[in-house]
Amino acid sequence: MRILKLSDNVSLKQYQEKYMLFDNLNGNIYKLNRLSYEILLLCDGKSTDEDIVNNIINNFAVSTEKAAKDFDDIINTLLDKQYVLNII
Amino acid sequence: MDGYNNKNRNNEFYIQWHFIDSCNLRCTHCYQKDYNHKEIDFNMLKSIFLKIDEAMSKWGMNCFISLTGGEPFLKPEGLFYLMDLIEKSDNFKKFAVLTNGTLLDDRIISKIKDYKKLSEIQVSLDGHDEETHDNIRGGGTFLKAVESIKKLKNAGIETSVMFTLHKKNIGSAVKMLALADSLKADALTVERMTTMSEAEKEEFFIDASELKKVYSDVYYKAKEELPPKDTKLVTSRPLWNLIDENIGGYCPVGFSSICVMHDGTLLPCRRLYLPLGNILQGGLFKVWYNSDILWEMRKRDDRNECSSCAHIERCGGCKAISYYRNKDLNTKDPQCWI
Repeated sequence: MRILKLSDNVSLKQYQEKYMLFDNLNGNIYKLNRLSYEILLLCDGKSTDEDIVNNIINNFAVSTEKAAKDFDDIINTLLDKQYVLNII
Repeated sequence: MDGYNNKNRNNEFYIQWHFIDSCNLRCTHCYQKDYNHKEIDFNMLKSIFLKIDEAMSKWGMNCFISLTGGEPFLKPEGLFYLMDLIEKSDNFKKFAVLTNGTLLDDRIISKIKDYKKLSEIQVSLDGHDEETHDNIRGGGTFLKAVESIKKLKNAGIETSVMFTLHKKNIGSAVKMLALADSLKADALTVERMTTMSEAEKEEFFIDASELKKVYSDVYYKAKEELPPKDTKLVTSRPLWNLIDENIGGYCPVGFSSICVMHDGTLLPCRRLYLPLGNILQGGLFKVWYNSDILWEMRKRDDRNECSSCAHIERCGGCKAISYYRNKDLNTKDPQCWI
């Protein structure tokens, strides 16, 4: 089990139909899809990875497999970059 | 997750840095209310410079920076300190100095000449004659400013004239062309004052129909009589596009421009006093990417009253003037005449 938290050095923004992640330290901008954006919003330092996947399954028209795969893809990438932290 | 390719050395970012809040003049239309004659805090200047330099380096952008105040030549030691830092950094393409032109002497002009990145010295002239200018800026200031422009030009320094248009000098607008030309100024900017309060509006505001006439008269007179090789009329700001579809520009604030105050406070522009944060607390990106005010200024969809206007690509109005009139950045510019 992991408890995930978005780093204080990044921020999320929905602007019109665009979803973005900003690195406030080096100025990089990343384009997200809506599902990735929603997953990252749920990285609040309280929810476990299981909570987040369940939330996605319950609120979006995605299969368990798709939610789990998208979750793993985005979280693993962001854990590598230290944009998301596992706080336990 | 795709990264935007936002790092391009061809991209230019504009910063207006009001590095000093002291001034030797008390111009009637000035936005500045506080004139603390503090000594230059070199440590703070360096800290702010390093934050800007770091952001430009990480972004990979070329910075064009205008150094102003207050009056930048009131503390030339601070100005030259910054000019040296800028000159040595690869992240700055060029810089300008915006001044009232009353404090330049031969020693300063001789020193300025050595800076390769200096693009221009911009001197404010708020009237075509001594009476009009001095009524706004104070006795004796017209002759000093004119003398400075002549000396700068004689020294081979690119020099432009800034004319801030309002009710008290509206009669000078067209005549500024001849003055700028006679001084051999490289450029003349005619730009309206942003009135920031009801009292200022009462005293200085020009109605849309009057503004249309002034802009039109200035533009066509310049086209007919001003040889472009001599003095160029600067028409890159909002509303000029309503005069000629080939001129004018959308306000760059929030897209490629920001204002830094002497203490590191960030503003959208000096005429829009909405503090966004402080560059010393977390750097430029934190404010640039997260300020709700800047995101509001970036709206070009139907929440922006100008969105359906045929001129929006090269106009969009002045958001500061809209804000002070309507408390809404995305309402129509009150001086727009269409």
